[in-house]
Amino acid sequence: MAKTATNTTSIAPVVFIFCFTVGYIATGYIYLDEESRHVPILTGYVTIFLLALETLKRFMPSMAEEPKDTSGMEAVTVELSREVIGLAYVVFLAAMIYVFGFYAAIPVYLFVAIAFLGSQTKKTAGISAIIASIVIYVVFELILETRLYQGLFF
Amino acid sequence: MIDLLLNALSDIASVKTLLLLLMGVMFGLMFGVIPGLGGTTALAILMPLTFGMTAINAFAMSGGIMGAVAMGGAISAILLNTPGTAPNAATTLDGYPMAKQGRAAEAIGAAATASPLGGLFGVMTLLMVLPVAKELILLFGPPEFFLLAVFGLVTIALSDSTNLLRGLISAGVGLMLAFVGYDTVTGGERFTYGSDYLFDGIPLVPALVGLFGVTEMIHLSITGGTVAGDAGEVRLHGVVKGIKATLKNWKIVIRGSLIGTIIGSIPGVGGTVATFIAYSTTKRADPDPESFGTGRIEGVIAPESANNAKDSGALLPTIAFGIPGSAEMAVFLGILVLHGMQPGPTMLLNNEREIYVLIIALTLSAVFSAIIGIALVRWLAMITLVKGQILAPLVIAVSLVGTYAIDSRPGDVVIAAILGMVGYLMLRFNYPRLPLVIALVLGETAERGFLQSMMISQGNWEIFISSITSIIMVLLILFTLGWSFIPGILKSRREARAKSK
Repeated sequence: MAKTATNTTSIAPVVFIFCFTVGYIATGYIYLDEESRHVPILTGYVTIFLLALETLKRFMPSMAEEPKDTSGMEAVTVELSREVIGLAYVVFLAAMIYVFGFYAAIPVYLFVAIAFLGSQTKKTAGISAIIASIVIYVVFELILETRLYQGLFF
Repeated sequence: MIDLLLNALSDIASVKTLLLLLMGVMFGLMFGVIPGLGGTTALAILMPLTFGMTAINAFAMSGGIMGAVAMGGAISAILLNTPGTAPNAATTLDGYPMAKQGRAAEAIGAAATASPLGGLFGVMTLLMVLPVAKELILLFGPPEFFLLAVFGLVTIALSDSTNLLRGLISAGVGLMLAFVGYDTVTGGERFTYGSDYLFDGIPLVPALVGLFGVTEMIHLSITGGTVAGDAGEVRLHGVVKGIKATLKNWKIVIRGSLIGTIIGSIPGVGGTVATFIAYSTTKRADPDPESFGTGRIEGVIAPESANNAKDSGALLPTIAFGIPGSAEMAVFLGILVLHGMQPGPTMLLNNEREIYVLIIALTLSAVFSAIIGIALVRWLAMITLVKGQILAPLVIAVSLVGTYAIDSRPGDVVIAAILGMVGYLMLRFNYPRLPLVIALVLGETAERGFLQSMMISQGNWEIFISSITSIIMVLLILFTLGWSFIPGILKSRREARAKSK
């Protein structure tokens, strides 16, 4: 399996985590009593301090070392659009499950993901989707006796 | 101890349990063979499926996976020059040259012998250490547990010496997430935004399935392709030669196993370090070190014996202190929690029987995986030809169904999906995921230990250096911090000095 080339220089994760942490601290101050917020807010401030160091590191070349790769896998560059689509498929599956339940969501997701994201033939995608759905039904409903979620409408 | 072992043997000797163990072995071999997946993903995906099982059966299956992944990884390392799991990377150095010389079967035979022998050595060591660990745990009170949690977090966050800050940031985010939900000390509700679902906090199992299982599958679906272009012709002549060579080099097996067990028991250091140290130590000790890398069988035996021994080493901090030393152990800890056990001192006192079942399962799986691995090597290598674009959606779908099946809460599916995407972004931007998971696991222990200590001492911080155990813990934390940061600072000073000259 190839490995996506990591992006070690982007500022986006720092900005994202910073916003998350600020929101977290603000929530702590607004909604929590002093005793409950003590440790979480301290953790938030320490994280902001670490983010500041991570940002500063960019201006100090001696500190900005590339992490070693011990995975033994070849790094490949993947188009951003493909990554966005790959992630969108997971959102699509989770949303479908939440709204329509597993038995509607899984065959549709498998067919679409294998046929379009995976660029396989519609026949392969269809067979995979049907077999997987049957296996899931047999394993969970019949063997494990777990009633799977039917969605918001049932 | 003998009684416990015999009881565990009788527990595991039922047809159903043995079948589940064999299933675990097959599952572990398959996930071990596919590069990039490995034991963590296998356990994460399987974890929800163990929900309906008894703890004994779940442990037999998990033990089967943990013991077999190393063997599966060795097969792809030798045949395809692609390590199935990161610790198998050291095996490629001599294993693949052997395969190119037509000695693939000999290398696989050596790996299949060294791997279970290493596993057995690790298990024996674990058996000897467990009774001592039980005595040790009695020395721990709230301040010591707080310091232990901090030590676990610091060691794991700083385990990647070139990525220290990001490891600590991940740990910070993990801690923040760990504080979501009901506050066990004050009884208040925190960061739930009125959601009943979040009252019990971020659920561990969906989080682990997301961060490891779903993340790796998103990655596979995006990178696409097959694992290997050509599985090649696998000839099975020479397996016995490899087995004989391993038995002849028993000193290398013992040295490798010892390195694997010791390094495996240090949280955060990881199996890759263990196998490379075992390899380099064997190379240094050899009269002809230059010939390593050209197809020396000793270069397969050393890392493979260390690879399987590390699992038993890593089990010790997980079971005894509730500190998982690796991603695989973090997921395994999730399985323990799922089956109503509390990893840490109470588990060592209350769940001895289950622990010994796990030990027996690890032992049996090491032997089974070697036998099955050799028998099915050709077919296992063919798994690497399955297209990632088909495999990934199937595994994602099954993972999410399994996550739901545990508690029948649709919210768990959403958490697994969200954390799967977060995990992919962390992978993409090179932020380690393990510190986040460990922080999620240890956050509550750390906070409770801290607040209880402060209540006991009425706000006096000296409580954290009031016993020999806590002083040792503080020194260990300081040593770990110093060990991680000081070499970097010294290096940058040296560079600055060299520049000024």
